Amino acid sequence: MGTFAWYTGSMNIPEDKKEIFAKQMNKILYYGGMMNFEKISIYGHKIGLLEPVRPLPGEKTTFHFNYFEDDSWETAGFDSSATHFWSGKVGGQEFCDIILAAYTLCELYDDSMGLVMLNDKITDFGPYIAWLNNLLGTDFTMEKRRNLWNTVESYVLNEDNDVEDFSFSDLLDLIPHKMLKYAGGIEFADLFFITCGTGTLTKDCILSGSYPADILDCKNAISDYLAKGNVDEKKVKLYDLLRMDRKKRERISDPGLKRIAEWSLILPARVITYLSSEYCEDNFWEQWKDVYNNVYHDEIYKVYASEELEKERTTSWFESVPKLSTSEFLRQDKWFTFYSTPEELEMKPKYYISDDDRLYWWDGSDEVIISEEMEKWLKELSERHSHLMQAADKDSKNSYDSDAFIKDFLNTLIEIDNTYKRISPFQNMFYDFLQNGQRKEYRAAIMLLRELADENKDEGNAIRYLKHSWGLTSRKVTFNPGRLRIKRYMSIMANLSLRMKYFGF
Amino acid sequence: MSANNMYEISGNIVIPNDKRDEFNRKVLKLLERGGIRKTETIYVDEREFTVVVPAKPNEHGIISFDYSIFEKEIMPTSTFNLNTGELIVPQKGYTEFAIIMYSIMVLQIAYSSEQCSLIHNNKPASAKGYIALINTILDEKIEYHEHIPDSEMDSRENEPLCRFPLYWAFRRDNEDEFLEWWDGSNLHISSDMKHQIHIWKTAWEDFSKCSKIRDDIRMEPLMGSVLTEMQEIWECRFVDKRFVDEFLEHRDNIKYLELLILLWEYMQLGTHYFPELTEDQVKRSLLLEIRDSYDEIKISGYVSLMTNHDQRKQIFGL
Repeated sequence: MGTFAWYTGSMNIPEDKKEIFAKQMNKILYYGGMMNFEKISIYGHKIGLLEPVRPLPGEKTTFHFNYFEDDSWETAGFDSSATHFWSGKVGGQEFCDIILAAYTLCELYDDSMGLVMLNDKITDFGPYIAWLNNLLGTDFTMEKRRNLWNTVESYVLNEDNDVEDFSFSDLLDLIPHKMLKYAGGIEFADLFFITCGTGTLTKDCILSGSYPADILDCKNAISDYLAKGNVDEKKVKLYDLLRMDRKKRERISDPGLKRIAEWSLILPARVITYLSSEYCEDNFWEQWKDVYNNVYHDEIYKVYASEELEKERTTSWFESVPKLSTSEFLRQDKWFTFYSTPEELEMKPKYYISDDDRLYWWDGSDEVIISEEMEKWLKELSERHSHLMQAADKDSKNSYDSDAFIKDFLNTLIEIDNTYKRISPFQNMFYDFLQNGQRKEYRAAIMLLRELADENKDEGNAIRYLKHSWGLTSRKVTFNPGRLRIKRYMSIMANLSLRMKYFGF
Repeated sequence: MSANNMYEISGNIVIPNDKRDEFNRKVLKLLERGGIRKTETIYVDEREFTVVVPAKPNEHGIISFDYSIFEKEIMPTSTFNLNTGELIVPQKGYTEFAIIMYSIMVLQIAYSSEQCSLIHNNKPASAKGYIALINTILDEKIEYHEHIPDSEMDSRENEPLCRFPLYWAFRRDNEDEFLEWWDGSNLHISSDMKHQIHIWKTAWEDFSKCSKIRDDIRMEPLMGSVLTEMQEIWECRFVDKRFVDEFLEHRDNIKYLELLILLWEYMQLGTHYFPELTEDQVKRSLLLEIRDSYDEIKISGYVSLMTNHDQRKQIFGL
């Protein structure tokens, strides 16, 4: 049980791309909010400190917590020197989204075929590429999945993937949703006929000269041929034909086989295989597995689509996927996100991630944009901090007691975590404050934290509706505004540039 | 608003004679505005289709209905008796159909001369939400006395009218599914739908400029195809019978034909992307994957505009 993300390919990252790949992977994990906890014990208190994933080049890293989800899953990891990424159970929210983005990067760089998977479902990598293009400043396209036939064939025939059956629904999963209308063509049509059968091909619905018309005629030629005599002997002759080169196929004289041979000059070998498999009620992929390495590839296709459509099909796959911001990418709005919201909280607005939750990553660039409302709040906090500094100043006139400061700091953190749940300090913030208690700016910041903790208690009390499972509790409970304010304040205190800008320390 | 609550009435509903006409008028309006209809079978181009007609009384004063155009599920036939005020609903369901049924029940309690209460899980329940909904649909205030022991809420007689639009009750973001009641300004239409109506208007104007000869298309087979695809491909709500009747009545009028062609062409958008499959294969397996799921609402919206003669005249000049 549980949701597993994985990648079907072998992650063969070309040597000259390994460095950039590793750098980009680290960026995904860092900005994706992947973290660990440093567990410390101090003055008899156990505290977990948030440690964002930020390995040095060539390092291995493991992680299990996502800051945006506030939840832990099975340990996942990245070995940047071996350029190998791995994961276990990933849940279905932000942790999962970032893992899938990581596997998408693998698929994009892998020089062999592979697909990003979630359990046994192929993942549409489109939205992940959109986020990667935004985060990494890249121009990735979806062309890796453009060659439908090769992609499906390598996926199905790879025994490691343990594919029991490839359905039309699987095909629709594999093709990025936004590319579906450009995915048409002979390969798509053949995959349609393999997965859905050719039963819907009837004379009255077919246009003369169209691909369905050619498939129907070929189908009739094959069924006429296989209907007479020993079907097994006939099948053998049919597969012999598939091994012949064009010249030999042109010279076939057997009248029954001749019609099929004529079709083989314009249709791929897989068509003859799936039509005969269908007639014989054989599994196409079982048959294809035995023959695909030794069939003709010298057919000359007809073109069935208009020039305009052909052009659209070609160019669209090579267009860079439009960017998607981190907040849009990580937005959670699934059926269970606000499921079973307590009546008291029904009228409260739904929580969706925004850049207000990403302040830890603010660096003055447009990576994280400070909203008008957040700007207002930061200024208000800064003013309050200034007033509290005057109070802290008065305290410092007596001798500074570092022990008392540390205990007070720890108690504040522990109380906040107990009251609001899952509020942990960032590792850098914790050690920074621990070492600077003698400075009034730090003491005032803790006083402000205590005030905020007190002011937000009522709203934060919504957390009492927390169920046994964090992930299955409505986000109107777990991401209530009271808790969010405390969490955001903690991230401000941990971001030294942001803190300096608004609080002057 | 959720109709999962399974409300019942405790007490005997008795509608006084002097209030019966007023009460019946309000019930009919709730049914009509609430999208409650009766399904009927018709034949177009020798094919059988289900359409809907308004819930109207028969010669015995009994109104039958079995469908909500918002819920899009055929329910076992329910009845309302104009002579007795009795409502019989074998199956309310849980959503839009049920919401209107519970609204009628609250109206029954409001009009009953014998004291009755709304019950949920064997306890008296507040009808606050339903009162607001009824008041908004009817655009008039009903008097309702709640009898909930120890409740802070008592008589609502002197409370101001509280608006609760039907589309909120139906958990919609807009009134795009209410176009048959649109007067051009009274509904909260999405910008997407407004833009689509503008596109149709422009396409219609192009039709008029072209004066294309339509010898190859006849009204009845086209109507049959439209209805088939609305039901089998798009799973739209059943269309109003008046739409079918009017267009078939005007089968030789090129303008009506072109209005239907406009809808048909809109429904076909995207089918050209897969010439290597048959049209039928594309429509049944792919079309909904490449089109916006909201297009189903737009298709039904177009048909609603066709039955809304004022707006049809305004937009298409017909």
